[in-house]
Amino acid sequence: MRSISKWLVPGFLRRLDQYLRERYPVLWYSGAHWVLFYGLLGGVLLFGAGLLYPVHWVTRFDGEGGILDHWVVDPIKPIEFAYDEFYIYSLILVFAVACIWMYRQFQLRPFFYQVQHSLFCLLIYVGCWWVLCGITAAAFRMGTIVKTAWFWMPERDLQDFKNSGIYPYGFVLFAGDTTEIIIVDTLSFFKKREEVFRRIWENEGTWLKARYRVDPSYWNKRLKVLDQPHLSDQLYFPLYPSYPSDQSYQLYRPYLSYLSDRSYLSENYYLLDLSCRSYHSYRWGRAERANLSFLSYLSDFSDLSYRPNRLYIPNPSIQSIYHRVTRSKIKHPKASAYKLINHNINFYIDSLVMIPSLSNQIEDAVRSVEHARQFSREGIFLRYFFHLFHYLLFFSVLVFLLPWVSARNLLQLFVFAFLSWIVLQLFRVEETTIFNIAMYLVLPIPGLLLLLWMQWQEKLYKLFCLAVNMVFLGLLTTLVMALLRLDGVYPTNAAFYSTQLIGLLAACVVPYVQAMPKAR
Amino acid sequence: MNEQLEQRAASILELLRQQPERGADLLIDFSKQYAANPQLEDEAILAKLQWMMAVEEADKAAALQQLEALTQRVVEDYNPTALNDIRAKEAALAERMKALPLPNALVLQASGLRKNYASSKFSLELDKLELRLGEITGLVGENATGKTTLFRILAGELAADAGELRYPLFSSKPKPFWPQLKTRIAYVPQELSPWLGSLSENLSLEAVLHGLKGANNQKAVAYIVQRLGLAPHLDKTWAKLSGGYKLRFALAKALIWNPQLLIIDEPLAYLDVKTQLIVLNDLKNLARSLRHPLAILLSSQHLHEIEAVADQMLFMRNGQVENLGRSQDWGKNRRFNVFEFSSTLDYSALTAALQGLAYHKLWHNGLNWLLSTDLSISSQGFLQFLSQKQMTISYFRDISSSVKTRFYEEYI
Repeated sequence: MRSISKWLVPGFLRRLDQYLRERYPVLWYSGAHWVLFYGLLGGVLLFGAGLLYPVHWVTRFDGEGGILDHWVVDPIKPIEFAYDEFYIYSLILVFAVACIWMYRQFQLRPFFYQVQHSLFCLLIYVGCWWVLCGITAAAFRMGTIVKTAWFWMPERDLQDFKNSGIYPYGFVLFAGDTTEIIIVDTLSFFKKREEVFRRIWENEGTWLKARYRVDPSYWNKRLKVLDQPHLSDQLYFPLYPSYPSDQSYQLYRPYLSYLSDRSYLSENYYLLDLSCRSYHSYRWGRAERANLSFLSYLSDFSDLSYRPNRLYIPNPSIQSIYHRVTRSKIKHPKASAYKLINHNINFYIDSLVMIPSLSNQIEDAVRSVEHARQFSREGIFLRYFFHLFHYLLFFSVLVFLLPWVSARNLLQLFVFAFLSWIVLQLFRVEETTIFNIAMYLVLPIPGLLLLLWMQWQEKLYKLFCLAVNMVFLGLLTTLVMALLRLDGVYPTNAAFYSTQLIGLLAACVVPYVQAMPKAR
Repeated sequence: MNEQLEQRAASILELLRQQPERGADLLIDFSKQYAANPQLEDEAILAKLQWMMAVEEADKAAALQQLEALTQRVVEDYNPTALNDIRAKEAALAERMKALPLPNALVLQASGLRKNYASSKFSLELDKLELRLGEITGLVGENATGKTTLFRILAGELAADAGELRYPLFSSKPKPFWPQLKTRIAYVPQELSPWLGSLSENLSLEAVLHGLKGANNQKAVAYIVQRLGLAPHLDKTWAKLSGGYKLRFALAKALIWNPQLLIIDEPLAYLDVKTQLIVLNDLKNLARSLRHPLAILLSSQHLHEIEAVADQMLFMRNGQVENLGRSQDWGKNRRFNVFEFSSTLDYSALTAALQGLAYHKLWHNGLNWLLSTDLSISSQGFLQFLSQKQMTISYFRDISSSVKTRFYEEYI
């Protein structure tokens, strides 16, 4: 055991630990030196791993008893907290390792009572979480971005794919297109329609450059130009600061991409026809498919209309044209070099498995490279750091309060909160309000008031532990709901920030009250 | 002499190579005895600690090298004339210290303290208590009489229901500001709380929390570790220590930062006889230290040991605190002399043997015989009587002026 610890903990870190312990006790208490060292080391390792992993390696059965191994190029998505799966996996890993740190903090009680020490400790915790979530957990994704942008596909191949025209960028159906159309030259067929598309809509690059803007006024201005009355109100009143950026990610996608997603088709049709899910990787979530209505104005194709949550093409003849286009077997000589699927696959294992067809695979590959370069140029990493700060105080206060957390109290409070929720349900209170009350009033505020009362009384009552746990659970619930994007708790919501403020106040009061004599 | 000194240094060097810890202990004694420069002893203690705490082989080797170099330096530093001068100065200083009045500033002042527990119908009452620098106050009493409760109130761990509690040395305010005050009071409870990490980590943390930083921190740790014999257990955690060492550690933690008020609940409970003496002797010296005088309040069931060091005694019964006063006044107003002795004779044989002695009562406490007599019979007189009767006793103690008599009031 000792030898393992000796191997895991380098000598200089032990000496640093001793140095801090003998000179800066609050800094030592925070364990920042351990977190920073292992966090940054983990970041370097994960970044290295990301460099080796630009795309997914997938093994599937080919439907005839054989095994089909191929790369599925991972479309680079915006790195958003609780959004990107690579980031989530890394974050889970980071949290698992950070449990050691949190367990240390759980066992140690703060030996300070001054507010300035509590604030200093919280500030250090914010720094620690910033490193863990912002650098360590994101490092793998950054590795994949760097690899995909600069080291995966040579420029010549990239241009070759881009110019091949085999992926249907800018595809627009003309009013004259009918089921009788015969496509002789695929390239020319798409090129004609792309020209029209470009006139209608700005090119992809424009949107790419702007899609991380979190300034709602920018989006209002741009979208107003379109003068579309059915644009979602959510664009004007975004749910959270980066909402327009997220929407823009869908917006920039050219017309045919949107068509090929075909989430506008009926659910049954969608499940039956695999080609409909060829863009599954882009719009993998139901929520992403849900707000497509405002995209319809992009088209000058009058047959397209929209339903509240789903676009559809009423004319079956148009559908069949599209089928013929996407189902045609197109091959590219270089596709196999990148292990891209070189043919259409018409089988699936279950309804949830997405198997892209050739054209979409190549498009994904090119798009991935383009996006990765764009991300690198625009410093997505720094933008991501900004978003993180919405959440870091949550984590920091939770770690700060850990020494007083008791499983028994948490369970009692959870049952109490759940019963309160049922009572509110019986009174048919709107769900958002219920969540807000449950998180915002029932738990953290009484907890804080109890602590302040003890401070006023200058005595440590038995309720102390319960009060701390109330604040803790209130914060935890709010954080979980915010991460799961449940109603009422987005980073712009009052509960989101108020709960953090309550946590901050509680963190300042708790060590002080703890130093008081016990009442009993 | 020089040759003798070099021979001893050589044997220490040899021992350092074979058993570094034992060798380091000898080196510390050696430097204390022969080095004209007292700093060499400090350096030896520190080097030993570094050797004990080193994890890497290279660090261990470096510390050992330092110990070896120190051995050589002690030999070089040996100067009989200078050493005699130092010894003479130390002796003169000790004489002067004895003559100096005790630094008896008031540390704690309690009056009318009350604490009630309605559920157990127990109430604690303390009318008046004063603790002063340089004094040791012993608190004794039967079990469950509220000793720990009183200690907790005085240490700021428990709030009193009524009464006034002031700490004039720490704060001029009438109401104690506990978060700050508690950092000035060293409290060693009866039931120790487990700690996280190793012993050395906790000691250095405790020292730094009280302003001992950097080199001073290391020195303080090294000194207290050496003094309380904790060196072999420095890297041990709570679970790996015996009860006695846990208490020693708690004492080390309390003493490392030179507090001005030390409250210890049953410090002798788990200590072996040798360590009990070390601890009591240390407490006595610490309380009267010129540089860092200290007020000590301690409880124990080791009555004689406590009496030997205490300047003031408190006795508790059923939650009531009775101040017995200063050591020279104990038993001043007694009505009887009480002797405790051990004999193989049974009651009838003993009463027969004691015929002719004007004793009041004779009873057995389960281990020894106790005899109460008139004040006219002194301990010498009683021993002479026993001698004349050619009675053999294996143990004898005059407890006439001891607080122990309070436990036998119903017999006396």
